[in-house]
Amino acid sequence: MSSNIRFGKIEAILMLITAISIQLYLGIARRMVEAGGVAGWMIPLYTCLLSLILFFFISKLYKNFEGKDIIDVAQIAGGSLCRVLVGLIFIVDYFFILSIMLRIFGEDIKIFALNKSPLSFVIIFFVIAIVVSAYLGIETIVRLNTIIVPIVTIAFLIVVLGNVDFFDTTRVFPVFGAGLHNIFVKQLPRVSIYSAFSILLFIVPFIGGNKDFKSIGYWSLIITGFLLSFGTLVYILAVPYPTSTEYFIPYLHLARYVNHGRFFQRIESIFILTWTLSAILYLSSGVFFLIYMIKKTFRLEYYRPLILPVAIILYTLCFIPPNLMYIVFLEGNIIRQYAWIVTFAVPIIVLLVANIVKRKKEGEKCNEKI
Amino acid sequence: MRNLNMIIIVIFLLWVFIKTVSYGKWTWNRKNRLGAIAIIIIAIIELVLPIYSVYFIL
Amino acid sequence: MADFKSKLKGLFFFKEPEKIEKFILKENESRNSSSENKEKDSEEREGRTSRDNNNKESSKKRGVKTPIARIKQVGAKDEEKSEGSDEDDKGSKDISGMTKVSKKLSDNLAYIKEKYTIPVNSDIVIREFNITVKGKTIPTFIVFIDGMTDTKVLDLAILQPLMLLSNMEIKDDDNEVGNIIRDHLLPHNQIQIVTELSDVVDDINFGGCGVFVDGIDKAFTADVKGWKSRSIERPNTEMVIRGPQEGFNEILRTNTGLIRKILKDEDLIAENISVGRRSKTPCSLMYIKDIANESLVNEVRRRLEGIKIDYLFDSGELEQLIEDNPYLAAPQILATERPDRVASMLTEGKVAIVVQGSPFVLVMPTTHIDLFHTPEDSYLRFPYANMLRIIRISAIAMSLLLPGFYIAITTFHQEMIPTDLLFAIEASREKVPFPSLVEILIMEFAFEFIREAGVRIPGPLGSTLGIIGGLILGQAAVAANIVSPILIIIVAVTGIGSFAVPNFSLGYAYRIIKFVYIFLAATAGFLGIAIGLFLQGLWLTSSKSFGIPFMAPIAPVTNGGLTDQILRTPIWKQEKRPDFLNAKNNRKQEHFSRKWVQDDKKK
Repeated sequence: MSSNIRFGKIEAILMLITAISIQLYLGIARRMVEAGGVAGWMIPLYTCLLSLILFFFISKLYKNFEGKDIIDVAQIAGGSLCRVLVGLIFIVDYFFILSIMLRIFGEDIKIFALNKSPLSFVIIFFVIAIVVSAYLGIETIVRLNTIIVPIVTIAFLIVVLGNVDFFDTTRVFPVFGAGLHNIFVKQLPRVSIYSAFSILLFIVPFIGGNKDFKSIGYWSLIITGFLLSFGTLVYILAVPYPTSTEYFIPYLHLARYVNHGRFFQRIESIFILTWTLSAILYLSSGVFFLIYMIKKTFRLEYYRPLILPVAIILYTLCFIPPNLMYIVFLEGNIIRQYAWIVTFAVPIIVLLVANIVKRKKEGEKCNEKI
Repeated sequence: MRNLNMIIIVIFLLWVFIKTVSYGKWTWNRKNRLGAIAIIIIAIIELVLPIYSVYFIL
Repeated sequence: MADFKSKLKGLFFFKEPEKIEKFILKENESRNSSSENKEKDSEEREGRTSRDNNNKESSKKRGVKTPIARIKQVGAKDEEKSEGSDEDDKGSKDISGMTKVSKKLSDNLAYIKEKYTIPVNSDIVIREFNITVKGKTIPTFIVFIDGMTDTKVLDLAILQPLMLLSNMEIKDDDNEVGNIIRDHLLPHNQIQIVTELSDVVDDINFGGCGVFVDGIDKAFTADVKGWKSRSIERPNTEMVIRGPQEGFNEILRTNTGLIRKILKDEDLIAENISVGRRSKTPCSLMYIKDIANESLVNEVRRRLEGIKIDYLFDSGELEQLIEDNPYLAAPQILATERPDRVASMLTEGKVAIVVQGSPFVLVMPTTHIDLFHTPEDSYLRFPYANMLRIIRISAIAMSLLLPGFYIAITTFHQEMIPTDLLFAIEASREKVPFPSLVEILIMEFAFEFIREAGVRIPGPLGSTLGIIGGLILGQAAVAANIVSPILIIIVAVTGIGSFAVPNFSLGYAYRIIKFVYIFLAATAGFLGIAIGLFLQGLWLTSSKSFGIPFMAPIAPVTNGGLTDQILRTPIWKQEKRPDFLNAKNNRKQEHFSRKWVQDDKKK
């Protein structure tokens, strides 16, 4: 992977936005409502603030390592052992999250479109798209992202605007929903909804300089925080409280509510197009970075021979959970509670150690000069 | 019927396995021992995991 | 057998990919530095075809250039090939070893007769005569091909002066016969003096006339081309209402003349390159010297010079020989019949190739969005042009996706159909014995048969067949309950949409891909269509056309590139050339291109 690939700032921001806000189509609205009652819209904003603070630390510590991704920093911090360890943590994390995401996308499509098809048939389409996009490289994925994001945004806005008739502002009250303690203390680990943010740590070599890194990080976090919160707010306004915890795919139901006369109704199937496109984009970039991570951790030369084995492993892993309830449990209670460790804690620790090691080395050099 | 499908799948898995192991061998010859071991581990997992999961887990 | 073994090995074992440097269009490289600064491509390609190997080899042999055809100069005084020209072939009777013009006329005559297999070859004419120069009678002969020369010009400018005027007194002190003939006895506007026999033969083959004079070891060639050709007519494929109605014809000089007539720029360069070892088809590489990026011009020239074939017949073959991706679902080189279109693209910084014998001129590089433009877009006012563009893009999208959507909706997502329409569809489909997929395939194939047959039917019957095929066949099929009426409408709208594609090469591509979408939709509904769109988007976005990304102004977002891509802004706002072409001079209009508006405001 030569360093001739360069992304623009906007392309990187759009990629991160796609990776994080894909959760809107998966049920984060329902989770927020389950967690915080009708104040569920506050949780993404609150966790966005938290993640901004954490990113502030990360970017401050990143000043000395311009142009190096987290694996290189781990190499500086503790040599090969640390590099392999950090790499393995990220690899296992990505395998876990991506296989569960793949299964959830397949199940969702099965729920609302292809009921009678076997799950393996539905998921194989995603896997084929992932394999082809990993073969063609990250530049293509990012460019396609730039084309698809406006289309997906327009589809989202159609759903939102079509539901304006059903908004009832009394559904937002009581303002603090499930209680301050439940929202602000118990939902601290919910900062894991930004777990896809760790992609930013890997695209550092492809973007130009620290200034871009900081602005990409801040902008993508702010925009996705706003988007997730807005999406949840729309859901809360449109669907009354206890019912909103029942719908498995919130936006499917919101799309079903769109009803303008005899012609423009039950259009939710059109949204399969846009949601599938953004889902595949998220999966492609995730799988590409997984393979890229393997390549960088073990200092391999080519990443293309690894695409097929990794795709097969992912495909197998996503069938191991026995049923949908188990998946929901895994996604809600394990990933979204503990992924913050891998996304924020591990990089901060690694960067701290690397900074200390670098300062020591510079101190030794100064000593030698003297 | 299930066994027939599995034979076709196993042939495909064997093909991917051979290709990946040959990449591992090439990497070993390039003096990258750790990388070669990692590639071979990935290859073994991708051969064994599907067969194991089809017959024992699912 | 060894080939098969190596293929089998490549299938089963890991092969290290070759590191190929593909051409990327960078900003403003000079001719010398482009050969030194070759940066590696961003992706390493695995397992390339042998064509790319040839490209790679020809890039290694960069220092050795294949000979470029001579640029015709008026009244050339210098000898073209003068290395060791003083060797005399006087004494040799061995004609097959002759390479240079001999001083003995009989040797030259024997060479020409053997070379052209005269008298078996019946349209080569040799006319022997005598000329009188400074009191001496010198035997001479001319040789030309009947049917390719203008005999009037030949008589008036070559034979008459040589035979009649040579008797007149020539007031010149020069006693050299060759110089006298060249300066006083051949009043023709394009005469060349050659010493190599192969050059004479080349010129004769292309409508020239060779003049051999006894006692001189040089020959004269005159350009007396006069073959019959089609006059300038309307273009067949790109018709506009508002705009010029001239199209290219098959003659190279006429076509370059048409382009020069529009541009009138002294910086417009028309380089001569001949392609094809035997056909020696002259091609003209046109670009504007101080706008087009030099590395782009060098790359086009390098690809043209690297073609090793015997005969080249048409610009279509040339396009397939120099394009980046032969397998891509869209053309990467634009072929057009209109001189005004070529001229406007040259002013943006693109490069054009005119091929002798083909009315289609190739323009490169192209982006996918360029294939959706018609020349009329700039001649109309911008609201009408934008409306036409929107209609055209929707027509193209429908020609690709409409059958797929119909199958997906009727097979998987019936809840989307409004209730009244659902009743109508259900009533019409009740009696049809086939599933939707088979129906649509039957009708699509019938439509393609009609289209293909309609091309070959002469004259007025052609359009009649279209009507017969469309109305009667479709109506009969509905009456026989083979297909449902709604399907006829779908197939008809798809067909009409495919005619709306301005670039007919892209239209073919979309006709093929439409079938892929039909199968995907029948397999997995909207999921299949979404995957199909994604894969096609990936395929198009990852390809390049002469170093620029194929989906250029949208996919890598470039500065200020969107003024004329999807929707057109008013003409006074189109100030800059497209950024991805990396032209030398980016600005094509001043900021206030309508000075009269500024003057108005001041009042």
